[in-house]
Amino acid sequence: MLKYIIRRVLMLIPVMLGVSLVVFTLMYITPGNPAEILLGEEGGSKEAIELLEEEMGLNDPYIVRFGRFIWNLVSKGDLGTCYATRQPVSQRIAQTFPNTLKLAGLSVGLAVVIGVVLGIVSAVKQYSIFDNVAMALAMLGTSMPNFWQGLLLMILFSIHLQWLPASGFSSFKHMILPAVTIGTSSAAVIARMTRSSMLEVIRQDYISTARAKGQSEIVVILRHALKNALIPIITTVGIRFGVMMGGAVLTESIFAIPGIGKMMVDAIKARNYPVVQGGVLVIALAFSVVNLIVDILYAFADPRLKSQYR
Amino acid sequence: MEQKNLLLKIKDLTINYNTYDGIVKAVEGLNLSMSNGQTLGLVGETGAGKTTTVKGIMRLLPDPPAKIVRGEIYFDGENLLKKSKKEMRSIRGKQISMIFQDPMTSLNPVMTVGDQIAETIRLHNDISKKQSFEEACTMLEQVGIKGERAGDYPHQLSGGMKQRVVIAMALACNPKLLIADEPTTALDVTIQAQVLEMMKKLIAQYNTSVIMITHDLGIVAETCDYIAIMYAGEIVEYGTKQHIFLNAKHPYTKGLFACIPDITAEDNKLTPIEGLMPDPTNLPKGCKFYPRCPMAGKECENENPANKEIENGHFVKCHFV
Amino acid sequence: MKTKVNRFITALLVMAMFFALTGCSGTPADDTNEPGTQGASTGEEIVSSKDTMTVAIDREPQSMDPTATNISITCTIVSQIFDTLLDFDPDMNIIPSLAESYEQIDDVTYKFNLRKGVKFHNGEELKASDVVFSLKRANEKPVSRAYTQEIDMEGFETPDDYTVIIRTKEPYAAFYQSLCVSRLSIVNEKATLEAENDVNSNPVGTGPFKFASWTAGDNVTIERNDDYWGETAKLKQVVFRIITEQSSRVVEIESGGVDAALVLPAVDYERLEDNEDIDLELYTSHYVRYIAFNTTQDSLADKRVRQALNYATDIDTIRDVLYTEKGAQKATTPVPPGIEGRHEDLAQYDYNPEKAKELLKEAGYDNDLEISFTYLGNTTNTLMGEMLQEQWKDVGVILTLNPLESGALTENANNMRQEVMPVRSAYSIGEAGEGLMKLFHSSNHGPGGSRVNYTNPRVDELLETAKVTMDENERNEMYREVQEIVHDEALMIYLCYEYTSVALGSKVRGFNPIPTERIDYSTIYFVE
Repeated sequence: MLKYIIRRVLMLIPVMLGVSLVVFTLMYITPGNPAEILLGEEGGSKEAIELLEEEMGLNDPYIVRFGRFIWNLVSKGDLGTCYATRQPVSQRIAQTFPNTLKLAGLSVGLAVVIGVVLGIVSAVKQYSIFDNVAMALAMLGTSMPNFWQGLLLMILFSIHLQWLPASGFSSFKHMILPAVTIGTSSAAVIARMTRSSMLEVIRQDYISTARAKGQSEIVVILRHALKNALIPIITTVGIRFGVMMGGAVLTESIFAIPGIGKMMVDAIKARNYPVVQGGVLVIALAFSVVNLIVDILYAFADPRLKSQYR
Repeated sequence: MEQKNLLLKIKDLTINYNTYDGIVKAVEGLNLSMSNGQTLGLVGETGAGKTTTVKGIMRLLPDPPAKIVRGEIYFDGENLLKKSKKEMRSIRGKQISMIFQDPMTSLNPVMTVGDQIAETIRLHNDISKKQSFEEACTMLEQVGIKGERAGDYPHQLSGGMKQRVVIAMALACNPKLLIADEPTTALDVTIQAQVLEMMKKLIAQYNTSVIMITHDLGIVAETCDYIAIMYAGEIVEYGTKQHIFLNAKHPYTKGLFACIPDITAEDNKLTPIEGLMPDPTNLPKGCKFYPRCPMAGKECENENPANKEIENGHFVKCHFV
Repeated sequence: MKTKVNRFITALLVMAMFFALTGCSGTPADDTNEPGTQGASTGEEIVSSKDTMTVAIDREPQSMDPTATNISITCTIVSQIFDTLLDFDPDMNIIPSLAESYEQIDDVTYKFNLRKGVKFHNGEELKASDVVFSLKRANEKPVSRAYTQEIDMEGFETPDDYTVIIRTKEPYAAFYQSLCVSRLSIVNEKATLEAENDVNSNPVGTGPFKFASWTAGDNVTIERNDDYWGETAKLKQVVFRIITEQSSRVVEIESGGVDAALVLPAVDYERLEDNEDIDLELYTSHYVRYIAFNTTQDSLADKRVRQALNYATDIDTIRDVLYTEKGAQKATTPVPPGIEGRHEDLAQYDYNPEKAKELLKEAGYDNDLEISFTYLGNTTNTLMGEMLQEQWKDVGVILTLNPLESGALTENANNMRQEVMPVRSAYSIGEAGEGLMKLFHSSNHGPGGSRVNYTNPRVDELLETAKVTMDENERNEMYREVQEIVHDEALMIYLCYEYTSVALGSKVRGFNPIPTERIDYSTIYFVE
């Protein structure tokens, strides 16, 4: 197992290099000039643009720029400097990524609790009113845009009830609404996945065997059924969590959360190359780590898979 | 039938499945009884209602869609259908246990076999986790598997070993009644024999009564004292092994025997029973076997025949006996 | 059957929840109150002890370096931290700031007497050398150099620590105004030299507020400078929270999460005005919105086509739909109201499709003119494009929509590739010449910021002459002539002068915005 993990971690190096190359090239060939954008809608003089381009090192050829980026990264761990705020990119990421991580953890945690519970009960009470209501809610949860849902929550909890702050991310109270906003849609997906996975498992003979032993229903469901239904659930949760590593742009925008998603979108709009490159690297890395964790969890969830981890 | 030794008595058991296509009458007006120490073979085609009947005894039928409409099931003199869920749980696994058809799927793939056996033991005995695991190892030894394999997961065992584990699990609490639902169907023939042999040995050793569900008359001949032939939710013929094998009276039973190849006969052709089982949502009004019966007469179409005892302990449900 | 009933019940439940949620959002409009009573003060208000103000701003500031600012919110924040030599009052009059007094010695020479005892936030005293350093530094920075072009960088003189002599390269009429822009803020020489790359995390100025912190994407916080040379600020702290989503800013001000919210959607004006906990301030600022014709493009080089498109546009409808009647004012010339030299009576191209068709026919088009509308792809612009598309179809012009993302749009426009494009232009020093120069002088094509890319020697000459003409009346006459020419040439469709909107909590007092969109936070306080 340890060997497997080490190998997977080592494999990240070429992946990261590839990601850097792709992102760098994409940004290179995308139209738009960071100097012009920084000077604003109203433009600046030609010489002002040239001055900025020089400052940003945009006049060097493609290969030199990419080489410089990689060299600085490998030799100094330096991701470059943000064109806009003049802060080191690593500092900007250090400011935004923890927020994204918190939001992801909280919302996915919430989603898992709600989703798995709803999914299990729906599966156990298939075709009951509970099942129908839960699945209809799940449908609503997946189809309701986060953006709209977030605003509704804000209107209800911030303006009318005045229970929670509408935006920002400075305290736990601030995190509730955004976590619920993202959590509900994830919960919906997880609930549906849990339900179908559980339904499949509940029909298996070993569930009847467990019942025939005289085991109580709750233990049958939780110990025997749920553990077997776990693989697709882990996959779904993993993907959700992994995607969240890239930030939730819309939710971050409406709740004014300084997360990595919003940072990236702003950076892309401004052709803030260093931030885009650094950000993508971190997102890709986080996504890979989540994937690795999911793969390791598989082994714990299902002993049949364990033998494959060498 | 000796009343004092009565272990199980089923009276007028009727079980329906409510489905989108209508009500499926899986078991209808079934009467059956068995004494301690007996081995009863429940024989019939797929869909005859054998598994439904025994799951009904265990109260393991999923509701919905299954519904026990009427009837009584007396086990050790007590009506199981009147028991609470909790009381039922203490009976399952302890008093009555069950072996399911397919050993490949009846073991939980994510638990070690030792844990699965120990689970049963711990449920019905007040002992520590460690003790129960040790007992599980002993049980494994009993069914011919080395104790150290208790830490293995089902996928690490062969099919025959899995069925042995299932049997060990079923017998772990020394139940009074063991229900074995086609315990050997999924195994290949050599393993079948071994497993059956071992089962027989253990049944004798623990003095357990057995309901053996099968459609394999060979197994019945080898293991059972009594035989009940089921057709479309009813028992059409019941008797001792001798009664059924030597003096089968019901046309369906006769048909079943005609389906067994007889290598001593000159003509090697089998004589299958014409037609198919009737649609369970739309059963014939009279005798359920009427549409396929070679002897069918007028009364068969409209009147369900009564159960007649044609010799001591030999019941047949047919107008023509 | 049973399941069907269940599904029905389910559907009902879900719908009930849905309406319960959305229903909530409708209620605030119900509590209507009489107009006119709003904001009427009792005259005896008690000043509140609350001294922290939270302001929802619409985007991330660019920098804390005054020379790197060209969007209004950044300028606003920077101008709380830094002072300029001169300043505007809310009526756009020039008032002394760091320069206590000033005089013009000859056409190109100005003398400024600095205030004595002014302390930078790091404790250093303001000296004439700081002024020279600041202006020279601004001249080397890409954004700010636009405002130092007229200053002779070799001509500075500092007879003593509190006197600065500045020379312009040639006579420059708007010189005083240009010194009011935040790009030309006076920075501390020592602190800036020590930490040139660190200006963002430690800007050192002389302003009424000191920089406290900047968390990118979240907030910028400033604190009162207790040693301020002027009247010290009433607020102890101002937190500028970055909330890019406009509906979120509205929710924040409605929920009381912030004390002020800037840049609000026009559709919400009415509701905000009805809310008695909120004062909505709408004021003219020096912006003009227009739809620019790129005259370097073949089809649009013909004046008749440009005029035809003006006639073909029902601009009043478009303006009301996009900006609402409350949100904007009809535009009649490129120069916004309140600026000297604005032409007040130009005969407008009123909506007249018949005339448009005639002109197009004259220009040789017979229902076959195809034009593209290039714009920043957001809802307002898309709607604008679609309305133009409909209206121009009536006169046989096919308009294709070409939405772009901001980076690509700027590149496109700087290379003069666009045909028709919606533009917003600012008169950042409140002077007609500066804006007109940028819009219509032939040297400002493409990267210079002109989107009409118009070339007319007469206009160039007028603008250049006006710039060096010190007589106000003469100058304004020239500006009016420029406006007449470009109006006749129909270089653009005037869209509107948009109001700047600020929603304030009803307890906020002392709010005095300046039309350059700057807000002075030092005068603001709260009442009970």
